[in-house]
Amino acid sequence: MGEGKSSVIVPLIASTLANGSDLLRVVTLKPLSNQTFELLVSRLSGLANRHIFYVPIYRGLRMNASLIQTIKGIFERCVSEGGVLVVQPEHILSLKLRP
Amino acid sequence: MTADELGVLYDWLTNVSRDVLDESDEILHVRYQVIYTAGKQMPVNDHPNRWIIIQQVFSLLQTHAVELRANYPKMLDIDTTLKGFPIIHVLDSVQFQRITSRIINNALEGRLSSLSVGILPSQIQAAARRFMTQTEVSDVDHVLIHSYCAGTTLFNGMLLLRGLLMNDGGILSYVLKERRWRVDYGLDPSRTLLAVPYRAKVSYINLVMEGH
Repeated sequence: MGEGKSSVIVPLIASTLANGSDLLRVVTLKPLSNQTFELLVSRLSGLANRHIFYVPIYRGLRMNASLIQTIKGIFERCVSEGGVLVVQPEHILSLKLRP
Repeated sequence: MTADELGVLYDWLTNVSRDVLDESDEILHVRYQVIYTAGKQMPVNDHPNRWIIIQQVFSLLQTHAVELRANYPKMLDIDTTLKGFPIIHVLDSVQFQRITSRIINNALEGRLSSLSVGILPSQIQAAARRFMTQTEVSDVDHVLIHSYCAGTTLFNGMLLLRGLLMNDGGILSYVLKERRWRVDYGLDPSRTLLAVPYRAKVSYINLVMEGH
């Protein structure tokens, strides 16, 4: 606790790895998700002009072609702008398991 | 149609995404892993030898425990009041090592019918004995055993025996030596008239997490 892992190292690594060709996802626990989002906004958005993205995908989402395009569009924007995507493990699994 | 597009999206994501895990020990904890079956049904690794070997090791264990108790009645505790396999407690590390080394002798003599370690050259047998009893395996032994039987059912069987018989941390050592509760310690009149249980059911055991 208090060593700066989440508050210093995560934003540092996130901004370095979001290099315009990779989709940088910061995976956090559900209870910490908001906090991480706010933290990245305050550390990276103003200072480094990075957008922080949050795309909560859940299993109840009715998928259709236009929604998929929208999601893909957001992800692609995130990649090309060097943005950072904050996700929870559930979001990754929900996308994977969506029938 | 939608499924295909989702597949495309997911494959693309897999290719381009780079994940940073905050609190990774929590995120990757076993209790949050969702495990689904996939693919065709297949037999469990080393089927059916793993069961047969365990059964045979148990019958050897019973024989040796009874024999050793005849010589060292205070160091082994065998309860045959219930039908079936007796409840065995080994109260002494030396006796436990005797039992494991006897079981390995039997194995090397070919008494475990589905594990033919008896046919190994004597040099490898010596290495196999160390491999199955010692927690730390020397590089020499490891290379020797690996070069001789890596990937065979023989090697799987040796791994199984190692898991069972290893002198510290093996399953039998844990089950026979560590798992004791509701022990009637009684009185030790030579020492004191107080009955003091020094290891009770509620005492902390350092293998609590192995439930997974």
